[in-house]
Amino acid sequence: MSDKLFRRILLALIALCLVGTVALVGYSLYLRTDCSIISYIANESW
Amino acid sequence: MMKIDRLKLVRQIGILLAVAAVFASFNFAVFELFTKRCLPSYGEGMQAKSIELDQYLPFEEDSKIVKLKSDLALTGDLPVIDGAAALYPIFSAFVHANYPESSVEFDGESFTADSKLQYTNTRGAYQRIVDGDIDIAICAVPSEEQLAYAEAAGVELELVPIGREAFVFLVNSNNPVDNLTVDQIKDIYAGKYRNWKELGGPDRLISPLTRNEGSGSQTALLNFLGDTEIAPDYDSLLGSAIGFSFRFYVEGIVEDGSVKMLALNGVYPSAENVANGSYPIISEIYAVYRKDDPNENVKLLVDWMLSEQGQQIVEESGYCRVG
Repeated sequence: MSDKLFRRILLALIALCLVGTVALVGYSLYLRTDCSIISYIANESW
Repeated sequence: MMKIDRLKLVRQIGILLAVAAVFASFNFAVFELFTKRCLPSYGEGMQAKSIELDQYLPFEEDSKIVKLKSDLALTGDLPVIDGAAALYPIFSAFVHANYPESSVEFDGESFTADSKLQYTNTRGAYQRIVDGDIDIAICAVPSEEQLAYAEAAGVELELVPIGREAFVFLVNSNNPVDNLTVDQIKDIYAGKYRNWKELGGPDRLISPLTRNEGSGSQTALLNFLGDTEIAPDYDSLLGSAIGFSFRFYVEGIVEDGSVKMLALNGVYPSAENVANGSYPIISEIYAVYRKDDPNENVKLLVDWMLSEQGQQIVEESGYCRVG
């Protein structure tokens, strides 16, 4: 793979991952606005 | 030359996989630590309004409310009733017992402005009673902020206890801790206990949860804590939570088997232990109205709530009588 192609793929991958991360964090903040105590406790990982 | 190209390709692919792995790990952590916890564990209607209103409507055949017909026979201007989510089954049953069916209008999601039965939860009900939009609020004790709002508006509120309920603390049902003392709970919120292992549980951080100011249960928590100040909780996402609510809301309305109520000082918050007074934190349920409300039916209806029929509704709805 040429360096140019590699850099393009790397940048595209980082951009894609950043979009996913921002979306997940945004979704988390949205959920936080009306998260109930009971849901929060019930969904805890054990 | 071929070998160098192959090494380079392997290294490039390795870098791409490493980048993807870093993001995936971070996103997984966000999901496990935060997103997953905040996902609603019950229906959309309850998530939006804290209760499925349509399951407790008056005059509906399949409604879960207590169906009793009152001897009161109110006529004229019927009081508008509102209140807390946890107490909605009670005041919906009061309406069923005393009001004509035409007095309630429900559009599938909310009550219409003309409906004599309203639901805006504790914060809304206290604000609306001061503003004169409703006549009676069925709620737990008001917060300092709500009392100050009434005082600033020059409104005197009458709070009549019509029932009692246990204020309960909750943990995940997998948490092995079943019982705490009142002082231990206060010390958890004060930040003196930080790990469940200090209380006989596993080696996990404690996440003491709180609710929004002015909600009925948050006011009950603050009253329970008294002078104990709630410590900042910076690591709560990493721990195992403790929260609070009212007994029947947990046991009878939400019915989520993934949470359990804790015994306090060795006493489990059963209806029996609330009724006999052995459970240590009892909250009063109030009928709240403005002292200057000119509607004579308000006092008549509140007096009826204290009658045998009114108290029967309180009890059969899952709460405890006064007295």
